[in-house]
Amino acid sequence: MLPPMSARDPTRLSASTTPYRPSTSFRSSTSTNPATPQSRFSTSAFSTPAGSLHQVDEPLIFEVGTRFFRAGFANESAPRCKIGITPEMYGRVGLKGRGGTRANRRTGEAAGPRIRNTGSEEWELWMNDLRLKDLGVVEDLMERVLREAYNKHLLIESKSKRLIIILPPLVPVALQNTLSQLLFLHFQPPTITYLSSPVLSCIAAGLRSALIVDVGWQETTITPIYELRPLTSFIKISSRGSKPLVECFGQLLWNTIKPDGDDESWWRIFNWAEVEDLLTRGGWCKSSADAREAARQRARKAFGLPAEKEGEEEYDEEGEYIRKTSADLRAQRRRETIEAAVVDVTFKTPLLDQRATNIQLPFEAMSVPLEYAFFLPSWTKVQSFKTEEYIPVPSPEDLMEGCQGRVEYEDESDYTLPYLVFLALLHCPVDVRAACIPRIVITGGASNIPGLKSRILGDVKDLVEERGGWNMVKPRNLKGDERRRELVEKKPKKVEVEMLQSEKDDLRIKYAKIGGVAPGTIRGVETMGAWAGGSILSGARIKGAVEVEREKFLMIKLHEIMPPAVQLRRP
Amino acid sequence: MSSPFPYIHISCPCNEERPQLMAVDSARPISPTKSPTKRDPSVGLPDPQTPVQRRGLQPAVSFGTTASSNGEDDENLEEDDEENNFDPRDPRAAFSLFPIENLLYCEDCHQIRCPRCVQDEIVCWYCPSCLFEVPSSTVKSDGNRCTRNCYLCPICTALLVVVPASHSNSGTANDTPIGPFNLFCSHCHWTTSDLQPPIQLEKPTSISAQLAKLSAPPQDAEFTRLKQHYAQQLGNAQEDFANSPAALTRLMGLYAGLGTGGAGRKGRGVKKLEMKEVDRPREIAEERELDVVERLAKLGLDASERTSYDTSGIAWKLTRRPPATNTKQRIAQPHEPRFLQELKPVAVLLRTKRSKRCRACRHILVKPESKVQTTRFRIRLVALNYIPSLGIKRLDPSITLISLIPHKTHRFLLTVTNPLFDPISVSLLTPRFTPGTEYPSRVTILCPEFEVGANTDVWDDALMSTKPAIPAMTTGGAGTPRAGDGRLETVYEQKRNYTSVVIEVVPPEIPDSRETRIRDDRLLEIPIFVRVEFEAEVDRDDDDASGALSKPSSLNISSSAGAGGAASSASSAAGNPLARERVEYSYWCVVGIGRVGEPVEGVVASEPNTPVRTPVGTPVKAPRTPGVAKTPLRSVRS
Repeated sequence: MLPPMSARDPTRLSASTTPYRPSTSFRSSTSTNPATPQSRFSTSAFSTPAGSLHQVDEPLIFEVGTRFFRAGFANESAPRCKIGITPEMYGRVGLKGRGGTRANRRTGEAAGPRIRNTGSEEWELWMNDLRLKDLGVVEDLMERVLREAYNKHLLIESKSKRLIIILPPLVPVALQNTLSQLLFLHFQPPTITYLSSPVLSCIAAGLRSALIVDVGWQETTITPIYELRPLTSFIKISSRGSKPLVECFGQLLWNTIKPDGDDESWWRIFNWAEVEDLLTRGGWCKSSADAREAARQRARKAFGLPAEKEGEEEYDEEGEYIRKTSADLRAQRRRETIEAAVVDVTFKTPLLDQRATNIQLPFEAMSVPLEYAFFLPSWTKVQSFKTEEYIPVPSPEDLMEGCQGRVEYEDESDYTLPYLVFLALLHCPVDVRAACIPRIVITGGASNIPGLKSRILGDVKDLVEERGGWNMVKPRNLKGDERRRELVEKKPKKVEVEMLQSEKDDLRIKYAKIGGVAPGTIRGVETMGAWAGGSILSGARIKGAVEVEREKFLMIKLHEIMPPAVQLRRP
Repeated sequence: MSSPFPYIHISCPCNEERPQLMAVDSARPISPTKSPTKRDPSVGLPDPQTPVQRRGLQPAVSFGTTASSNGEDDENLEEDDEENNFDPRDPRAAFSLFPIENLLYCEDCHQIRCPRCVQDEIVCWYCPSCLFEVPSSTVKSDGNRCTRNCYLCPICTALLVVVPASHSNSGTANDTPIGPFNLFCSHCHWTTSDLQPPIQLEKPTSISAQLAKLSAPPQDAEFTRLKQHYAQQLGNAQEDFANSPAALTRLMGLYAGLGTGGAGRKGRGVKKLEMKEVDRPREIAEERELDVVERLAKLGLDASERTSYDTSGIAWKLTRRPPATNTKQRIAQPHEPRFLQELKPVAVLLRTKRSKRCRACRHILVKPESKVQTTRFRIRLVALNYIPSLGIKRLDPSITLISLIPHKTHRFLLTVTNPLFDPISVSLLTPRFTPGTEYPSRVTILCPEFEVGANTDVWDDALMSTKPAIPAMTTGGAGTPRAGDGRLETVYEQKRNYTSVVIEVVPPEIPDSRETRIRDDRLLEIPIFVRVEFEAEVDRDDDDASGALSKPSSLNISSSAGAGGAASSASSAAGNPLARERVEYSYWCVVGIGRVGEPVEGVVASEPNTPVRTPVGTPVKAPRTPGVAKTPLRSVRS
């Protein structure tokens, strides 16, 4: 009775699923020691290998996301198929234009199915706000997707295989219920195991504790994992994800080519797929240092100061010539390449005067939507590529200490990514934080955009430095403190500073020797993604503690749904 | 652009079951192991009188009364209309509407079966390119892909061909070409030498083996590393002892009791060894990411124009080829490469031949021949052979389907063709106003109940002229009786196995909401509820004798002879005329008539059914082609 019920709660399930253990189970050890799955010799190691050669019971692994569905077999490094949700999938079979009722602005012809928000709905399987979505439609669409996966890509019969389904950390329970029901009724797998994607991302990174930053489509979720347990009460969410990213880019492009007085929404002019595709192909993210520099230039402009030239900084304050290292020179060269590069963009714009619009953008423009979507305060007004400044120059008041326009004063659901990472770490218990700081894993669709991962990490580093460590209370006046300290404390001599430095270096070298990092070092770790994690996990024949069994599920569901009178008529 | 109108889609009845999916399915055998052939008598639908009620479909009941009272008093039904009608604009409707060609029919359930309510079983696997059948044992290990020489271009998905890398010896045809070889796409001129590093094959055959040797993605190495790590940590696999160094270190650690991560575990003894994380996990490096950015910037996004040379030396200027992969190309590859230069040729995905079973009664609906080369079917119960197909055409050739005139009565001819060898009686029911929109159109079917003749052989008609004809049969449709007010009260035309009735549509005036609204209010789709009744032979499950008689005949027929099989069963039924029963089924279908256009001056909403005197009296053959429809509309009014 219990497993199916608890299975509907993803957070609870994943918590109870995590004590992974070999299928030759050691119940006593896991119950006495709730910390970790224990490694040990299993009896199977001494038995004949025939049992493991005979891999009958290898499950299928499905990863269900908002935009993509991935499916494949265990023990493979990549899913066999990835199916993206497109508007065509919402349409009718056999109808050109697929039965859409969305009107083309110019011709009045159907242009696609129903759309509500910014047109992204037709590219999504579900949205987190289920009030706006008919779960029946989700079920229908899911069925279509699953059928395609089974019949076109996996080419096996659905009844034979166990399923492992990887779900995002905060998937609505109603959705999971729908999914189970659909699967059990139509595809009839014997059992389903639900796993939570952050844990698997952690496994696929080769870690046991990590801070998983999942930059997803609808939102960014940050889950601390400690010894392969998701700490669900410390999950942080921000509405900044890939969807707002595409929206920002679309808005920027539309602002660029918009004729005066046309207040059409961008998503009725452009095709979502085209905008998104361009972003995934050419989008990039400025490095932390560059972004800081750009912000500084904007601040200078706000106060009416002239922009500084790059070359001026060849001498430091004491007039010493700063010798450029080879890395600096490379960075310089890279900056020049990027500045000179140009991007030709062609969009189909059937609703405007010309069928296709061609814009030439500087390559730098491709990094601007990321700034808006992930790093700037949410109230920043989206500019266009026409103006000289792609990001608006703040007013001087905004730059004053304590003004409201800072990341800390955002809505709780709109925190910028670096600040959200900082907060997530800050709110963790100290031990968890210590384990997680050098193991930040950034995954999710948008994390493939080059530069984003290191930018987030770089910004977090800056933030920590600015805040003076992991202190819940924000130091208000660092400068004043410093001055006071100068007066009160004895300033350490230069030699001492150097010694301290060398001590730190010693520590670092010591940790580097044993293959770790010094505690407190912010470090990012690459992951192979949740799907690969699931593949590894099931490939190692580790069974989840909780499996949803078909017969049981249907029995309980039937009791729920059917009134007793109908029940009696069952044969 | 050719007009997509009119179209007719049929809603599979499983649509109505969906909301109460569990309730319905509970009564059915849920597991396939449980009695696949025996059906629950209360639900399994041999009872033809209550199929509609069983599915909880109220409109049929309400319409049933209308139909029995000859459709005269449809005024009092308006409230019911709002409630229970099939709404083609509902988002879920898109998933249950199919063209009739996509539907199957279960003879035992007397029910339409759509792709959603059948269960697939794989008969064989084959490569669609080389038509080689793949045994089921190797399908999975091959990655569901062809392991011979069938490869697809990763950019345009055309089939790749093997060409020698050097063009020197192209003069003589009988020369055996000398390697190295490239894979070449004759559509977009992509070759494997574009890759970085370029892939060149030694031999023109067994490409898969060579490719596997040449290009192992780094992700695979990482994956194996992780897998080995976990296997070692868990100590449950044979890798543990196969990889002796790793095992040795682990054993050493075990006895030394030194788990590096295990602080505070020392007191517990050596048995419990803390699971470690992988040695040197891949770190996120800013430098690496910025290199990618630089590469992107250098290559430009769309600006790379290249030239390549084909074998004859003519320069082919290629269209702009972006250096970065687009979404489609990326997700077709296992590891989602970012640059085109990293794309690998894609082996052709295998296909399957599948037989299909009815989900409710487990009878086979489609069974293809297991040989790959044949396209024949052993069993194929397509809906076209069982349910009457509807067709719609303009009665008045001047109607432009893509811009129907508001307030004008448009007359269409709805033709019901009977594929069965029994005469059927059809009742068509439609809501008075099209549902699901703020601007409903008024729809009237002038003769909602009629008979359609049997689909007898054409020769039967000619030879057995003495055969008792259907009473309502009128010849040629010329003598169409007309009521006093000019409305057609009876069928318009009735021929051997089809009957045509007139359907009148009065579209409303719809304001131009294109700027503000998203939904296309101007699309005019009419839901029609079709109910078919006929007398057929007794269900085989009930009568074993007749089942033994007719089953082999229907099992052995091939696809082309599907109609013939039905004929034989009909004749066998004719042999013992007592064993007949009344079969009834019903379904919704949606007729996409067209789009409502701008209002035309002069045609106003004077009364609901403006009797416009179009030349309906003379039965013109309404042409299907919209070319005739280009005649200006103004000539019609007058």
